[in-house]
Formats: sequence, structure tokens, C-alpha cells
Amino acid sequence: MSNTWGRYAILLAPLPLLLVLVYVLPFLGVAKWSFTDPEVGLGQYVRVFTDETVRSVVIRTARVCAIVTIASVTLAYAISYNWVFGPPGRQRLIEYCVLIPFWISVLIRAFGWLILLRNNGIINSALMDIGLISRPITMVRNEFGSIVGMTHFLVPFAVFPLASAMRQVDARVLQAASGLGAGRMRIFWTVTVPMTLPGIIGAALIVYVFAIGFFITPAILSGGRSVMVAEFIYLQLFQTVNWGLASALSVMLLVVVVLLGFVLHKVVRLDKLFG
Amino acid sequence: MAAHQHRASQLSAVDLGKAYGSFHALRDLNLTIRAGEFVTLLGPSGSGKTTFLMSLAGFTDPTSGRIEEDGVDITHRPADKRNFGMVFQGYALFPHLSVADNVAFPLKVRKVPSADIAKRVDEMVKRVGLAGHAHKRPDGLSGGQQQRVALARALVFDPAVLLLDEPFSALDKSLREGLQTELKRVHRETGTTFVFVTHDQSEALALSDQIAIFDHGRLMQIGSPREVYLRPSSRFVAEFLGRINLVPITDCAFSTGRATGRHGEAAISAPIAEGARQGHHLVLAVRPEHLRVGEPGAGDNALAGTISDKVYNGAEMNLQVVLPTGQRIVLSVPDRSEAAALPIGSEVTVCWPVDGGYILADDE
Ligand SMILES: Nc1ncnc2c1ncn2[C@@H]1O[C@H](COP(=O)(O)OP(=O)(O)O)[C@@H](O)[C@H]1O
Ligand SMILES: [Mg+2]
Repeated sequence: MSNTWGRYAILLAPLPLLLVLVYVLPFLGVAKWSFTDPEVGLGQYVRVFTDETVRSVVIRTARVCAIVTIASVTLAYAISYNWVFGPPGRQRLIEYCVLIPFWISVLIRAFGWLILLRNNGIINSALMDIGLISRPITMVRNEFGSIVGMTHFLVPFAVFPLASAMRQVDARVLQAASGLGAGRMRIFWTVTVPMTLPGIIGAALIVYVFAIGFFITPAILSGGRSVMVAEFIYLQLFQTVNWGLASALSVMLLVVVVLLGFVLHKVVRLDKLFG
Repeated sequence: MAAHQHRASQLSAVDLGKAYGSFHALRDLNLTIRAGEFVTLLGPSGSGKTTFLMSLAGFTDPTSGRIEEDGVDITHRPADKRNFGMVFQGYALFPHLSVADNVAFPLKVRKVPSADIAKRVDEMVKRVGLAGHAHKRPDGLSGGQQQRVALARALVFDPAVLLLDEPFSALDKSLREGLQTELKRVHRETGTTFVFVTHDQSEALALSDQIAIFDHGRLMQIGSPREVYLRPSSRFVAEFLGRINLVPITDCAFSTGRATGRHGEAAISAPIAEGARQGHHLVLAVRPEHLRVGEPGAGDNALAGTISDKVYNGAEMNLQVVLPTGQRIVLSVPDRSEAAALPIGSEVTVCWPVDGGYILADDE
């Protein structure tokens, strides 16, 4: 027994070692900069909480992430519902549609949206050709573009916890509701949604945490016009060369993510979320 | 509870069938459940009881025939428009709602004013013995308590019919008996039509006004507990309802309602079942508790044999007797009776009144 354990411990040992080496140690360096660059003290943290630009970036990030979360979870709920409760043919189709995006790189997907959404892109051209609009609607190089791209990326991540929550709903409970006189709408709102609430909360937190750290998708689709925290940190590092502020923001970002992770852990059991 | 007395429905199945591909879960079912009756659907697992109950509830679409409620065709009426209460196998309580909210659910759906809901829920929760548990979630309750919640939720809106699918099968024996008595009382108080599914014959005999016995998707027999127990129409029903001796009979002469034939050297008379015909293979069916050992009275049937085994089961002594033909028959006699004290190997005469047995077609 203990022998087996010992063998597993040896096999698993490189993993935490690797994590310490490539994540924890470098991040400790980043944390150090946040207190020392350009001078020792809490100056950079004071800036994080008082600087107008930082504040507007943080507010924008919070807002975009909230919108993306609501949009992703709503779409994912509809997809999961059809995946779990729909007819077999539809279930198969959804499986492919959920899985395929995982094989396509973030970059390609972002450029794909650019092609669809830009002023002379497919959507605007089509709308103008059929005469619905006379001049193009601006859908990229702004917040809207970021939101569309991020939502598209994050929907599958919300589908898994939601589908898992729905699979745990006993079909007989839904049948019972119908037998007690409830119509489809009432069953959906008073039985299905409350019974899958842990899945909804879990999916929302996962999407929000991912969205906060998004970099490439908003950078490409907002064209630098709707800068979010991750991109802002990048700019501070490589353009403004204000490593102290970038580090302080990184530390704050990590704190927020860890807090959300903690809430997630408290609200839902992770093994159930993906089980 | 007179305030809750209300109309109960009569349900009929007319040529009802349900096929899954080429497999018939239910075939050619003709059956009427009278208003206010307690009817049990009894049969082995897989015999189509749940399929029939689900068709009544509206969750299964029959593939042929129709279902009528008080003469009105409801075959394709959606479940939520039927106003039937249902207690599911495994209860199917709403896990996210308290006991009170579970019970209130059908009333909210029916837009009952909230003051009324509170009153009726309170009344119902008390009636099923759950006062003090109203605020709890189902997973904080025992199996028996969950069962009561399911019953309360199914009855609170005064349904015209209550459908129950093996409600007690997950509970242990002592709890089950208590709940059976309660269910019977609730049936008397509400006057609602009860359709109850079970595979437990003693439960069926104890509870029902009528028992409908199913096998392989067919209705084998329907009748009062006494009718189906004492006058089974087939070997299957006879055997399914409890221990029974089946003794082959030859040279049968039929007269009105009765036949006389032979088993070995002995002449045996008994009433005849509907399906039994002269010239067919026939068996005498007689339950162990209707046999005794001793001197036959005037007109009694009698078979001589040897006691080959004795089994004590607490309430009674079961004697196994071998006849000269090699046929074994079992009889139960009161413990501490003279017969129970007879040693193995004793020569005995087994006898019973003519009406105690029954002659059936041997359908196997
Ligand atoms: N959805 C289904 N598809 C195929 N066969 C089914 C389906 N539902 C039930 N059956 C079959 O129908 C038969 C009767 O089932 P059921 O009515 O549940 O029996 P019971 O309740 O008497 O145990 C069983 O053999 C079962 O396997
Ligand atoms: Mg069943």
C-alpha cells in the first residue's frame, strides 16, 4: 500500500517542481518589482487604486467581462439544454459544434471574426447588398468586437459545467412537474433552472476568470481602442516600460482570480462540475 | 376531511397497446377502473405495469387503442392537462424545494391564492404526519418521510385520480405495513380513484378493491382480492398470488360449474375455471391453508399419502406429503395442532371441502 503511494509520489514529484520553477519563482520576482520599482514602497499600489487611466481600464474590464459572462452562459445554457435533453441527432450535431472550436487557434478565430465583422466584412457587405443598411455598422475595433470574440471563445467552457449539471437532473423530477400540472415554461423556470443553479454559478465564475485574463482576442478585435487589464499590463511592460505598475496590476489580478476561484470552490464542488 | 371530497374519475383502457419497435410492452388491454376504487396493477417485473400507468398519466403515448376518462377520450391529452396526481417510483421530489414548497407546487401552478395555499399545504403536511418537517429539504428526510411528501404533493390539489408506481418498494417491511394502512385511510377519506402498481402480491391483496394481474404486457385477470386468490383463471395467476398446489387431474367429467376427475386412484371434485375445457390438460389448484389432515367429512375430497418433510415458519407448520403417484403437496396447519406433531413418515389422509379447490386449464 505505502509502497504504491511511494511510487506515485515519485512519478508525480516533477509536476509541482515544474510549477514552482516556471510559475511560482518568476511570479515572486514580479511581486518583488511591484514593491521596489522604481522605488521601495506601496507607491504602485496607491496608483492602482487612484490613477484615472487604471481605474477606467479596470472598470471597462469588469464591464466587458460581465457582459461576456452573461452572453456566454446564456448561449451555453441553450446549447447544453439541447445537448442533454434534445433528440439524438441534435445531440450529435452539438457535440461537434462544441468540440471543433477547441482545435482552432485563438488567433485564427479572432481573425475570423475580424473578417466577418469589419466595415467591409461579410456581414456589413451582405446587409448593404440586401439594402437593410446604407453605411456599414462598426462592429470591430471597439468593445463590441471584443465581446463577440471573447464570448465565442468562452461558450464551450461554460457548456461543460452546465451540461454536467443538467445530466444530474433526474428526468422523473421533470416528469413529476408536468404531471402536477406545470407547462414547459414553468418547468424550465421553476425546476430546471433552480436545479442547475450550481452549474450556472460555476460556469459564470469560470468564464469570468478566463475573461479577465484575455489578451489576444480583445487586442485584435478592439484594435487597441478598448484596452482591458491584460493588454494594459502588456503596454506598461513593453511600451511605457513601467514595470512596477505592471507588476502591481498583475499581483492584483492574481488576487482577484484566486478570490473568485475560492468562491467557486465554496459554491460548487469542482468534481461535480465536470463529473 | 369532508371539505375535500370531490369527484373521482372512472378510467377505461380500450384495446390499448404500446409497442417499442416489434416488442409489445402492452397489448390489447381492455380494463375499466371504476370511480373511487382502489385498483392494483400486479405483475412480475417487466410485465407492463409502469407502461400502463405512464399511459394513464400521459407520459407514454400508446401505439394503439385509447384511454377514456368518464367516457371522454383522453389518449392524447398532455400530462399537465390531466389533473391526475402521481407518486413516482423513487418519489421524484424537487430537491431544491422544501417539503412545504414541494407540496405547494401543484397549487401554485393552479394559481390558488397564496393564503389558501398556505392553509392547504399546512393541512396536508399534518395529514401525512410531517408537521415539524415542513421547512426541510427532501435530502434531509428518511425514505418513509420522502414517500409521505410525494403522497402529500400528489393529493393536495384534489386530483380526480391518484397514480402510484411501486411507492413502497424501496422501504423496509415494517415501515411498509404502516404506510399501507395509512394509504388505505387516505383513500377512504378522499374518495379518489387510486391506481396502484406493485409486484408484491400480499401488498395487492391487503390494499385493493380490485386487482388487475399482468404478464408479458397482457391483462391476465381482474377481480376482487378474494376472487383472484380463490378463483384464479389461469395457472399463472394461481401461482403468482402465493403458494399453491397444482395436481394433475385426468378423466374429467363436467357438470354445471363443477367437474369430477381422478388423480391416481382418488376421485376429486372441484368447481371449474372459465377457460377449463373437457379433454384439455387440467390441474386441481388448492392452497396449502385450505388442506387439512384427518378424517374426511361427508363429500370432502381425500388423498392418502406419507409425510415427507416438515418446515416450521413461526406462524404455522408446513407439511409436505408424497402421494402414491409421486406428486408432492404442501399443506399448512396451525403450529401446536395434532397434525403438526405428526412425525415424518406418518401415513395421513389429506382432505378438503369440494369448494376449497379449483380446476384450471394447465396452460404451461
Ligand atoms: N422506452 C422503452 N423502450 C423499449 N422498451 C421499453 C421501454 N420502456 C419499457 N420497455 C419495456 O417494456 C416492458 C414493460 O416495462 P414496464 O412497463 O416498465 O414493466 P413493469 O413496470 O411491469 O416492471 C419491459 O420489458 C421493458 O423493458
Ligand atoms: Mg415498473
